[in-house]
Amino acid sequence: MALFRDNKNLVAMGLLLATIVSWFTFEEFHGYVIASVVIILISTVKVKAVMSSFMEIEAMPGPWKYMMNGWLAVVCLSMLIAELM
Amino acid sequence: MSVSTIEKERAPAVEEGILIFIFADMCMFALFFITYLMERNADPTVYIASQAKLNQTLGAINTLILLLSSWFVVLAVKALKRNAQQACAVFLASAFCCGAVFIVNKAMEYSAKIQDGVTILSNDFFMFYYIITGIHLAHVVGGMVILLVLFINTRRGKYSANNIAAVESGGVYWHMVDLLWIFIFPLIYFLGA
Repeated sequence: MALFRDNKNLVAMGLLLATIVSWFTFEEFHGYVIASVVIILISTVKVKAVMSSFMEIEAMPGPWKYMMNGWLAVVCLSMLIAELM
Repeated sequence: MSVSTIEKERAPAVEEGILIFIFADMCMFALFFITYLMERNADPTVYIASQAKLNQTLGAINTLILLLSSWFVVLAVKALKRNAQQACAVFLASAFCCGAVFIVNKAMEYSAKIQDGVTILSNDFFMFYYIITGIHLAHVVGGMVILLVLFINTRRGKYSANNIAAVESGGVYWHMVDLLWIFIFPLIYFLGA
């Protein structure tokens, strides 16, 4: 099927699946720190996938790729630190 | 060199000014997120109790809707690269409809909260809730206006494989709206408990 031969379609399906996995992680393990860490990491991977596959930041000129990845690192680390403190 | 390799190596035709605007917007949201996290950790009891009053299911559905809309925008750009304007317009309209569903869900959520007497003045958590989700909602509305303009212009045949910058720029903006929500949803709706 053409739908499954395209990388961007596979990424989009993976993103939808990851959202459902995050939701079940929250439903089943709400209140556990490890569940929060897993949800933050899944969200970070999802944002990285949107940036790389949909926004195509790797192909952008100049420092944009580094700035976007830096933004992602700052937000992810802030959330992890706040959760583990 | 295969077609997919050429597509991968080609930078999206997004103007630098649009990238500056998008990055500045993302930095503004990052500041909101960090301020929220600092305030939440200073007084977690109020935040956890207030968070429990939110409708997490509606938030999860909205995440799926925005991801689906981003997928439609990706398909619209791919269709235009093949000069398939009709298909591009259909995908842009589908993304627009997803945005409309997101807004309806958000309106339902806000009205339920307001009917329960929960407003921006209720406590610090709800101040952040209304400000962060409200500003994001304004971005969704702005993105829908862009999608509508792109849809109309595509129907009029203004864009083609050789004139794709506007659609790619609008697409990058819409993906930013999506990626911001990917963080807003867990941050506001369930992390911290």
